[in-house]
Amino acid sequence: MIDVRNVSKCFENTLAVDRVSFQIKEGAVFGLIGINGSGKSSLLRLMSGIYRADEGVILVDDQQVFDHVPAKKKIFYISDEQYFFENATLVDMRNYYRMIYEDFDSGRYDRMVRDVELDPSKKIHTYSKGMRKQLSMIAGVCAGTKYMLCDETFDGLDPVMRQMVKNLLAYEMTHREFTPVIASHNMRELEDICDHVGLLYKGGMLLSRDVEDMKLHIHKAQCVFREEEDAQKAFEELELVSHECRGSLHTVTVRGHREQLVSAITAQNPVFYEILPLSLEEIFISETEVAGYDIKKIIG
Amino acid sequence: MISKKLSARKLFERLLAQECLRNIWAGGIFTIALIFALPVSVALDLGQYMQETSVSIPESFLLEFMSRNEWLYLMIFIMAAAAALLEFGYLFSRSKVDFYHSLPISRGMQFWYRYLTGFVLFAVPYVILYGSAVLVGIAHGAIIVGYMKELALLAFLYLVFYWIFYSVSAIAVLLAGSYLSSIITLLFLHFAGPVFCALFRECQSLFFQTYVDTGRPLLYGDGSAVTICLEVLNRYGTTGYYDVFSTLLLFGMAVLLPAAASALFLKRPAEKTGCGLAYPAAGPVISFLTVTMIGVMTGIFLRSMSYNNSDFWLYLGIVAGCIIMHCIMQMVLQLDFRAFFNHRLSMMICTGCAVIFMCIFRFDLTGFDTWLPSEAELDSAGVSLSQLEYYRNYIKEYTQEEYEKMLDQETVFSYSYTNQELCSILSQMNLKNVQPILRMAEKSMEIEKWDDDCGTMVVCFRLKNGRSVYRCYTVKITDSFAECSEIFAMDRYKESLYPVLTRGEENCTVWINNGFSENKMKLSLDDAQYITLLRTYKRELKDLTMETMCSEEPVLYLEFAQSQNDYYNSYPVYPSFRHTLTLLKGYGYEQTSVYDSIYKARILYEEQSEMDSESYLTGSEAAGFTEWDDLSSASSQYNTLWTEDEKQLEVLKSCLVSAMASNINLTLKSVEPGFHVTAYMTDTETGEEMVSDFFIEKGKVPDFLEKLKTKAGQNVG
Repeated sequence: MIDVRNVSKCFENTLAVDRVSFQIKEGAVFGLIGINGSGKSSLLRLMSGIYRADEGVILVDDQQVFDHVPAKKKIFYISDEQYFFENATLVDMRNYYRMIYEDFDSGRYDRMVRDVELDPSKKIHTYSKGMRKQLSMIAGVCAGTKYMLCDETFDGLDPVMRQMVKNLLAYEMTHREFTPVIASHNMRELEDICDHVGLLYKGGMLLSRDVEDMKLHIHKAQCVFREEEDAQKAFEELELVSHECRGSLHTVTVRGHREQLVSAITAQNPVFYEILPLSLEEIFISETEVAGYDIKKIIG
Repeated sequence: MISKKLSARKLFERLLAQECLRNIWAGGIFTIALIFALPVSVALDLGQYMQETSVSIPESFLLEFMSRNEWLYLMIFIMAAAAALLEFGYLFSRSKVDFYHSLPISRGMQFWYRYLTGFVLFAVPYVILYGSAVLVGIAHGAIIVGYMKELALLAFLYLVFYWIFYSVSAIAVLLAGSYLSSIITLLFLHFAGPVFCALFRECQSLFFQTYVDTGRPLLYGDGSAVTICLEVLNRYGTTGYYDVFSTLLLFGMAVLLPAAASALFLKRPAEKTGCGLAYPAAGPVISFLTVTMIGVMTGIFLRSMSYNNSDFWLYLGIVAGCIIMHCIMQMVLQLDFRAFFNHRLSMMICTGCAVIFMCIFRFDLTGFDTWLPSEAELDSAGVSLSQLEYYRNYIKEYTQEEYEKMLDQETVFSYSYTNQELCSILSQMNLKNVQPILRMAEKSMEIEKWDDDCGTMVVCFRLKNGRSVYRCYTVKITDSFAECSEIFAMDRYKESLYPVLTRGEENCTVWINNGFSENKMKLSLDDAQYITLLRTYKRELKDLTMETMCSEEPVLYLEFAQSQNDYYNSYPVYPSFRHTLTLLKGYGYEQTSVYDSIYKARILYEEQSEMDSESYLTGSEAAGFTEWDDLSSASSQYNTLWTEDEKQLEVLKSCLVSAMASNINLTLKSVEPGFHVTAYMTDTETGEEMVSDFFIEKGKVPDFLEKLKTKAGQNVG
């Protein structure tokens, strides 16, 4: 588990991380969401031991991470701007990582780079941005670390590549102890992969919730009633998050249990009703509105 | 998959090897530079030596060459700075910092494998090429068997220098946040100390009338690794001597500087990439010192360029220099061109401090020039009076090589010992009777303006608390004749002035010179004769008084040569040195007066409106001629008389004062202003023609020369 406790980090006059506390449990994909400048990259750098926190403590499996080699051995960090040695090939990087990470799987690395058709004879600086991100992911996966911190890794990848990365992460999680932490400003990117999300805004953590847990408490339904009064009766006892009406078609987002919603609707004999899946963004909207924030400003 | 755990040591070694391999290109560049600085330089220097001399290469040649190899020293400095930037410049890139600092490698290990890479990249080619340079020397015939240990020690010394420079450069890079600011911090750490010390000395020299440059540094080695190491190298190279203090200092620096660099690395915040400075607290210190010093330097520069060393330009320069440098520093340290006028308060403080610093010197706020110790505070003193030591330099005896070098530089007839040498002599003079010195110093404070009667008195006051303080006073020997006589009468002073007084009695060659030509007569003396002559001369020289020097002129000069290669000072023999003259006559020397051989003379007269130094020009200089043949066409501006008349020459001879042969200032001789005599003589030894310059003694102008004054009066207006 990565345990972040009351961590703050200030850069000159800017409070980049403001008393953030949360936990990243093992075996779950953690998504760190926030707009540009919200503190995602700073938080990841704190967690990977690059920055020293001004306040608070970051524990990786109960060990402090900053300048502590045993804790850092469990983490592989992929920056938004990857660096590779000048004039290095992917073989050179493999040899370097093999020296640093004791569990680095060279054979798997070679297979994976072959599978994605990366040319081992070419220098890495001739690769495209997407190819470099691929290489970073492959290196991160083959390093055999328990945690992998990815800073905007999906950004700039094509849909095929994005899916490939998601499959890769899923595979790793099912076959060994592996916990990816993915930072992004695009909630839609993380929708189908994250088990747990944290929303950062101006250096502070607005919320950190389990996605399934959030989904249990908020539901969306579309329904049609014969009479308008039936609709009012159906909805008057529900905690409405949003209500949209187009003719006789009502689309409601309700906080509470699913059974409660179904019971309220069916009691008024609707012509039609359907429970719809909620996107992560819609869930966030409901959660942040409770806290009094304008979600559009937060997630862009 | 098998886990391959490397021990920390193994990992360190591999990281070091990989880093060296990755930067092998830098090692290649260092190698090329060292090839030129070492074996090629040795080969060229040896070749030049063999071409210019027919003497075999001395055994110490290689050692001397290596110890004064400026190219090598410069290369070491440059390579150290380059290596530091190479190894720690990654801290200026965010992506590189993210990469390296996220790896499971401790910060300490990260520092040391990089640090040692920077050292290895230099050390390996250096050791190989130093050995090659020695082999090149041997191949050219330089035999170094007796100097192997010294050469090896010197090689190690250079390695230590590199280690130290590299450490300082690494500290500079770690303080900075960008390449540009790292260059600023690098220059600051290496040169701020020497610049400050030079500036301090320059201000003292410019504004303190009594300042003496003793050559002693304000801080040891001027407070910089570069100058400290150079000091150690010079001392070792010239004397083979390395004192305990220097050794400990070098050792201390070699240990503490890398430790400081390591501490800075460990504490360095990773988020400071791309900032001006990684440690903001260093900014005000660097900025303040740099801006203030540059301001002062600009002021001094503009003052020197101005007419009459104007104070206006001095202070204008200070203000302008401070403002400009402040703007530059702000732009560099904040990496923003628009920030040039930030921190205006700091700029004003720097300017104010620079002005105050200058005022301390300009107006002598510390009382430097007016300071005088009391007799009770003094243990002893040493003194040098320019007017007693004029023209002939007695204090320093040279080897033939040094003399020839001085001839090339045309400095043989002036003070050619360095200030440091003079101060060293003064510090050992130990004159216990300090009263005449103090009285002369007090009188000097009343002299407002330099004139022809003035000379300088350099004093070393040795205080009872152990301190030695040096001052230089403007004195007038005419006003302080009694004090000068008192000083001249002191044995310790005379021994410093005339080293022959402390010479041993080992036989050496004695030469006699008449003071007007280079020709000398060699005296062949056995041991007993030599000892007798030496003792007699010493006794009579010891008894010489200033009154004698005023009333008589030397009739000849004695030179005592220790060996063939020594240059020997000329010691005067006055007419009152009767015993010496008698002995010389007994040894076969017939004394003749040069004046008797004057057969032709040219007398120039220039009307003097006020006394100035040009009135003591020789005749040809006054007429603007440099070649003797041109004297026949004298300028109509000067009144000239040529004479070969025996009667006139006879009268003239009795009133002449030699401009060259005298060894005290001409003001003491009271010469007639305006008259310059060029006399043609015959060397009685060789029969060659000699030309020499004279003045006419005051009040003894012959009648036939009075018309020159009248003729000049008619020409004026």
